[in-house]
Amino acid sequence: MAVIVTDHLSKSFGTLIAVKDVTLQVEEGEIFGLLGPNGSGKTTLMRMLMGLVKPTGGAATVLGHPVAEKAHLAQLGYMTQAGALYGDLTVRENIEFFAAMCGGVSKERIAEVLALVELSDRANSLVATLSGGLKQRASLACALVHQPRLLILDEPTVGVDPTLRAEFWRHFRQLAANGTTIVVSSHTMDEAERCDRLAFLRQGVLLAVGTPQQIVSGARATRLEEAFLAYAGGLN
Amino acid sequence: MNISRMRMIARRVVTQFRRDHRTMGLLLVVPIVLVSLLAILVRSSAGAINLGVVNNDAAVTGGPALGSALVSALQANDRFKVAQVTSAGAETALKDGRIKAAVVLGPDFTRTLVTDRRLTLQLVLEGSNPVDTMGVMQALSQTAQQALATAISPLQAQGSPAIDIQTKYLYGGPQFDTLDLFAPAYIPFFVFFVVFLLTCVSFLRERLQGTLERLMATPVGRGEIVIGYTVGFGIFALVQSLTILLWSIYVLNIHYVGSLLLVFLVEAVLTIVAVGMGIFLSIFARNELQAVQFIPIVIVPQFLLSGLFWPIKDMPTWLQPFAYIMPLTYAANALRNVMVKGLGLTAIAPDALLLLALGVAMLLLAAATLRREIA
Repeated sequence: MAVIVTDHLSKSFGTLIAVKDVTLQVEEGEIFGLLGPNGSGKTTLMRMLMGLVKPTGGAATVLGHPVAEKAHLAQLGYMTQAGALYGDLTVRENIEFFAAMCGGVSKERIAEVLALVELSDRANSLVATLSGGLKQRASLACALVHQPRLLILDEPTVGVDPTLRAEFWRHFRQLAANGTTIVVSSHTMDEAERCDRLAFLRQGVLLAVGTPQQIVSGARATRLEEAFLAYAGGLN
Repeated sequence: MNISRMRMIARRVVTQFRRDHRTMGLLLVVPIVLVSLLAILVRSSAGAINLGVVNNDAAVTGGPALGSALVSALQANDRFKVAQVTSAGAETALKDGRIKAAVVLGPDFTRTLVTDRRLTLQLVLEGSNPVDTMGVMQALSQTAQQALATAISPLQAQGSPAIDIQTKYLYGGPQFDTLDLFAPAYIPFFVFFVVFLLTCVSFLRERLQGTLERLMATPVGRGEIVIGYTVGFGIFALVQSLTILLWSIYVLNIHYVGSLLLVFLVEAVLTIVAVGMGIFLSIFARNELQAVQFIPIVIVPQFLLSGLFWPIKDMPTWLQPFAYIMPLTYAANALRNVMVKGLGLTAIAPDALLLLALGVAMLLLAAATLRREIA
């Protein structure tokens, strides 16, 4: 079953075209990577899927619902680039707050999520006092505390050290194995390689969609990085 | 000390602020507007004062009608617009604000003046606004002497009579000092000021730190956010009101009449307005500095125009509509009715309901601005 279906989805801000005619499908339980240079429209595309930005053209459904609807949002988890947490609340309070917004969860689930992101010992620290990487972990915990069916993660591992990044990806893989669909944007190649499928965006246009192998061969490259440079530079 | 480095820092500051048009406007335009407003308010209260005269004087048969002479003398004075009223009519006219003071001449006015050489009259003032009372008293003391002198000039040959003016206040009166009368004005002012600024800054922070976007990505509704904020800040506003009130009553020894419960009711309604306005205006600020700039734009005009000090009826007619869109106008009026006049729920209902309507309108406006998050 397709969790996300977009049909010629477009968004322009005045004369600036952020996303243009993007048509794609994301299947249940897959990790779908969005790749592209800065300003290629990844964030705008994700925000449209979350219903935070109104498309100027085309249509999209998420979990079978048009993106403008709100009812299905409790089944989505969203993590933005900048932490987006309340600095003057503790880690636990932040997680409880966002869980409550999505209908609330049990105390056990909060503890479970804290353990998952390895923040159990910092649960009662104010978010403002955490380092960048710890903030990202807390932010991830807020995105997945309510056990969403679809996670949309906008560059979740920016500013995260390689050890923690590997941990994040282990979690993603585990979640996907349990049926959670994950859309993740990135511009690091090691992350792109871990995705089931990738979409390549440049200047809002979808250049290629496929498994990492398909992307590499499609760009007549030997490695994903070469493919990225080829697509990003528009050499293809 | 390096001159060129200092010059460079100065240049950088100038460049940064020149780009911030709002700050430049604040620097130049706002003081001009506010100073002009202040000038208009201070000068406009110098107009003719509506005076009611109750002339019960029964002239001595065959003698002079000194009561009528005093009324004519007051009428001839252009500082006053004199209306002849009955005793009962004077009180209603004072309460309505149609007259600022009533001069009451007793039946024995002429007789006591002629036989006892004593001029007795009663001056009745509304008394709930100290600035107003002071203005009227000042005008009266400047001109009444003159009018009196003219009126009683036929008797002047036998020397000046003793003057005995009894001042009576409909509200307030001697047991209320100036601070007591200002309390209904400063209490809502602080509540509004603090709640507005807190809401504005915390909502701005919510936008800047991205938590608002994250909130909008959950099923939470705009109405739920706005009402949640209102309740949250409402608690702080009531704690603050309670603190100011208790401090005013027990430490500053503020004298008040009326029900404290009604005071809190008015404060609660005012909080709704302040929260709605804070959320609404937060979209017009890009950073905390710009939020703080709302103080001279939003708070100071309310301070000047809401009738806290200058009675609205004395303002130029073109300025009065502005006074009536200020939420603080209704809050201060309602609290004055409760704390100084000791009136009950029915008396403050019109003000409280209008304030509530303003509050609901502000919350709707605030909720509508949240929709704009979806570009």
